[in-house]
Amino acid sequence: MTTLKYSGNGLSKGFLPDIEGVIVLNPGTVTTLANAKLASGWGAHLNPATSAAIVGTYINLRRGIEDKTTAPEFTTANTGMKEKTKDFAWECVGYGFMSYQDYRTWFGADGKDYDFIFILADGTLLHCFDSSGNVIGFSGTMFVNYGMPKPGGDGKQKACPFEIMLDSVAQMKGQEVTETAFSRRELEELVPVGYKIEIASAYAAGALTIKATHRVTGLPYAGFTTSAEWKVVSTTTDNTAVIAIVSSAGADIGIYTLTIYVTGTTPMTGDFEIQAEKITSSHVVSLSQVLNIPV
Amino acid sequence: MIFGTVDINTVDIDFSTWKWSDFLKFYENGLKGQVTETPEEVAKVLGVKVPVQKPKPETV
Repeated sequence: MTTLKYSGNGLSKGFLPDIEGVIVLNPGTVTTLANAKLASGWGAHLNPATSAAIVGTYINLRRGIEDKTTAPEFTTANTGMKEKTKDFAWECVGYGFMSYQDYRTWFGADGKDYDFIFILADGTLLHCFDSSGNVIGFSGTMFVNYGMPKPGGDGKQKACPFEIMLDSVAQMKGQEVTETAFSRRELEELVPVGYKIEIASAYAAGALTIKATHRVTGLPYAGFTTSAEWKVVSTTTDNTAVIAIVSSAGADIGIYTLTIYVTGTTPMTGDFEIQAEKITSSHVVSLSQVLNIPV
Repeated sequence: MIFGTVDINTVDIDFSTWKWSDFLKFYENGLKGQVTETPEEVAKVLGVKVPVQKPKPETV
């Protein structure tokens, strides 16, 4: 927090634009101030050369954001003196401008800690600095709502809520407002396009048939044609897993046959999770949700 | 390694160490009907050692 000195009044009395988005980052992610002012700087976090290197994403909150912060606590002494005895860190609920299929991919984020950088309508960043002068987000926790899809009107607009609870009042006091060289739209366009993958035919003797489609519209996606574009994200009982063969003969209708082994020609023995990704010009441009494969 | 509409993962799998019998199983399970090449043709490209067939003894 800066030292209080009388600092004058600006000629303009304009308000800060509304918060209309948030960059969600893995805790501890740092960005140089120079990079933070450029869309390409955020690209290094949001759409790097591999999905394994992605450390954050951007959520569009144009469906609204509500301040939920607990009011400061004021206490009256038995002398009658009243003073502020406690501040509370900022809390909000932001409503994601996304499909419910996109929102479901966030269910695993419930209760997880992240660093949050808020984006104003004009692309300006609300953030803080670390001790080295790097741009960092406000540390906090995110919660999502597993409730069923909401009924119409206001409920529909609030169908994808993200509860964000910041940890530190001190970070809020040290907040910085940094103007950038990019717009919110440029930032959003960095985020890989999300696709839906689903099991078309169950895993058996090493073979698995998957259908890949555009989310919501269900149009087939023909882009995940190579073994490098499919990843085994996790396994339950096997120590290794390799996607040995990808057959894309049915890619025009979104169908892919994957042959997945522990090693050699040994089929997987327990459930595992897969994800598809597409890399173009050293950036992840397409990404599916993580899909559990029962064995 | 691309064969028509099939991609075989040669980044994570070192086929040069594979036995022919294992490769035949690999072909039968994942490639048969998917590629037009024979097991020998695919094996040659992937670096799997293809067994040399002994010439049949001449009959007198």
